[in-house]
Amino acid sequence: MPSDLVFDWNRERPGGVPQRRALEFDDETLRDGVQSPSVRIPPVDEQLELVRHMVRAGIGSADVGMPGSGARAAADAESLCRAIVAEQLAIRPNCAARTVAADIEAVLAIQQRIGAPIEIALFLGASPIRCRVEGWSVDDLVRRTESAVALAVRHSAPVVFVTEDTTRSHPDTLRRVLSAAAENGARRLCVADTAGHATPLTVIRVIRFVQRVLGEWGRREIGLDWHGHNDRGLAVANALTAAWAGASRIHATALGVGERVGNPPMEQVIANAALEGWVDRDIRALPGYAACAARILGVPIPFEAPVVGRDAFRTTTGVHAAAIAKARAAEDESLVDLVYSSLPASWLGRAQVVEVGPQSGASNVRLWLADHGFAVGARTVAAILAAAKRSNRPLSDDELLHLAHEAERGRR
Amino acid sequence: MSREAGPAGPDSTESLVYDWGAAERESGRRTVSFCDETLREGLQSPSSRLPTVEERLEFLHLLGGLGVDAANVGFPGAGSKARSEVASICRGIAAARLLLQAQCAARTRIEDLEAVHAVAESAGLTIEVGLFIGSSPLRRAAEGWRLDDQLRVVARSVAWAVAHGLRVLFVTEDTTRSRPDDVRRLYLEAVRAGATRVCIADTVGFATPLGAQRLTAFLLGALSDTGARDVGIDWHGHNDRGLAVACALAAASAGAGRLHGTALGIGERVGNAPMEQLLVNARMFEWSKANLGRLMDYATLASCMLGVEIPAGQPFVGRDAFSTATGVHAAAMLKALERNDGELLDSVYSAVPAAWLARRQQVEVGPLSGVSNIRFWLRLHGYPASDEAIARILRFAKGADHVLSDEELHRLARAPGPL
Repeated sequence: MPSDLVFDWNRERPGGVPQRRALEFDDETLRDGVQSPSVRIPPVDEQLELVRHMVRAGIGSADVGMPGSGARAAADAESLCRAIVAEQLAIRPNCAARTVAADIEAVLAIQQRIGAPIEIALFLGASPIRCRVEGWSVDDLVRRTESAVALAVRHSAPVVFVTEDTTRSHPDTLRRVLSAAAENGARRLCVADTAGHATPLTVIRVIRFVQRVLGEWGRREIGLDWHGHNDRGLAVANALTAAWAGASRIHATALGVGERVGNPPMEQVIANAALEGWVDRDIRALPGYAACAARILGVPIPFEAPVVGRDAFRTTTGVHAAAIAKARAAEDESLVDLVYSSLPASWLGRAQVVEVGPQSGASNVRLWLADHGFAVGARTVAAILAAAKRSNRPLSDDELLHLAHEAERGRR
Repeated sequence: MSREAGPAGPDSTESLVYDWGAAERESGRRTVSFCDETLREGLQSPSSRLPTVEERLEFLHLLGGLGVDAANVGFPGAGSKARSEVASICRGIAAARLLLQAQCAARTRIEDLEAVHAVAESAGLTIEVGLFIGSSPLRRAAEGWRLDDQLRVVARSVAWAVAHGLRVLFVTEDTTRSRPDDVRRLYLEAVRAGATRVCIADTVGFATPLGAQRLTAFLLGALSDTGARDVGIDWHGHNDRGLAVACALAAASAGAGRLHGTALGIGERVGNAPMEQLLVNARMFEWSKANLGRLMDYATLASCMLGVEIPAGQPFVGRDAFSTATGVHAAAMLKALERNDGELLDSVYSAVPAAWLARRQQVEVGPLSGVSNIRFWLRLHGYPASDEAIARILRFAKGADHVLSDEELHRLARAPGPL
């Protein structure tokens, strides 16, 4: 970013918010993502296609399902783990499991058959509201945690212990449950905002709390995951805040598909991490990743989806086009890409697009004509602009071509 | 929702939610108002259609009943068509005596202000003008502007607007990438010339919540240093980084008294902070008493008016906002249903009660479902939960690659005995 032209209010941090060093991503598309009531469950060869895209996008681990939920889920998870090993894909698989022996054994069976470690994401509801519904006491939670973590660790499976609904759970309960997980050998702890309840301030408090208790136990080597949901529209902000506060692995799904309104969209989390300087700026793999997810899950990419939506770098507005035209005239490509954009389109291998519609001015028309090889005559510009102002939506390229040809014929 | 950290009483649902964000509300008691930008910024989306004047007025009628305070109705300086449309809308607002502050956008040019003034005269309405100027070094480089020239233009245009009876909201575009000293000078010049509100614009969606908070606190400090404490602060944000809602809330917590949003977040590029998300979040913080019972009508009307769909995954108003097909979730919700505890059912897997939006928690049946999903569905639709029916539906669901439709479920529930 040209520092002389951008004053960055985000970066100057008098409060001393710690900068992240290494950040990893865990892709939850094939577990939480397919829990969306609006997606189709893709066949396993298509799931594998998405895993290959994850690798290209720099995603380090992927949840490949919950084998304990049924024969089909177990078979799919096993096929994916096998393919990851066989193709030597640079991604580590993990599987979800409840704190019941059958679920854990289903993962251990796959691990044994493929002969490679599979991380187990052991999850347990920890909030008073879940305990009330399920009739659990805190002692029950602790007992379940101890036996489940011990079982997985005994069979050499790395464990990430997930407290469901952490953001609505009491700190005293969390302290006891997390301590049981840590003592029995969990390598990571995952703070889950299962109901999408958290705000960024909540995230800071919960992450700091877990860090503090890990410090008290002398267990700072245990890594922290953040798993969030978008019910309040805050999922991306919460994920970034978790990374600022000290979580070293962020869970997300392609296009944000997932339970209810879903999770933080992976493509937005990675693009933000690139803007923050936490990962490489080459994020050209993201459009392909998003397109693959949309195709195999049978969901459209909303036109207004940040980063990967059709309109992310598209304008028809006169004031904006005028500024872009001036930047172009100055032959300054980085200015063109930044004057009305926070994320440079070029990082994604995309470009700023100026179109012509009822909100446009002459600049839009001039840019379009120049880009399509037409002479930019005053009468042609006026004719097209008049047609655009009569329309109730942007003109298509076909319509613009037709109008431009007509205006040229009239001149001849 | 709980207002104190930790349990409140023995039996209420409130006592079952430990709220890690509670101090946010305690420390941040405030009232926030809202400015709806759908009819100006929303129409700049390349994917929305331009609605008729009648459709826009219908939308404004609904807005008045929602608890939204102001609405931007357009940019009359854009041309003669825009000017006559905005004038018709303002006459409609005046005729219906809508409780909305009508607002128009204008550049710092006298001809733009003359257009707004003409609209105000023809409607007999006091109009707030959102007077905007680019303030970032980037915009200045692209446009070839100098700060001194801008300051002169700001003083002249604000003074002209005030002298002609317009309320002035002074907007610095691209504020979040502008130098502190530049924006302070521009804002203070506008306030000296008579602006009653000032607006921070995150025009390209660059801010993080921390950036939004710092900038708002900076502006609040600059205003109070000059004794202009009665000048209100607006926040206008964009969603390019997916942070629009969080930034608006962060700005409000730092002292912005009015937040801009658009229906469904429709606007330039990927759009703005979705108004419906701002209203529900503000209600959760107890910053607003907006009437959320009509929020679905607002979203639906905007969707029809703009010709855009509501994505299934849109928070609060999307089809899936209160819907699950997952076995683990359904199991917990079924237990609450069987106890006839509606409040518990509405909060066990939900951050916001569906009842606020006059909606209901929905349990569906799909390949990731368990027996609980089916029991829940059967009970809600008045079928006996026979073992045969449950087994039949579960077998079908596990073999499907999608969530079953109600039609499919009714058919399966009715099929007689094991086939």
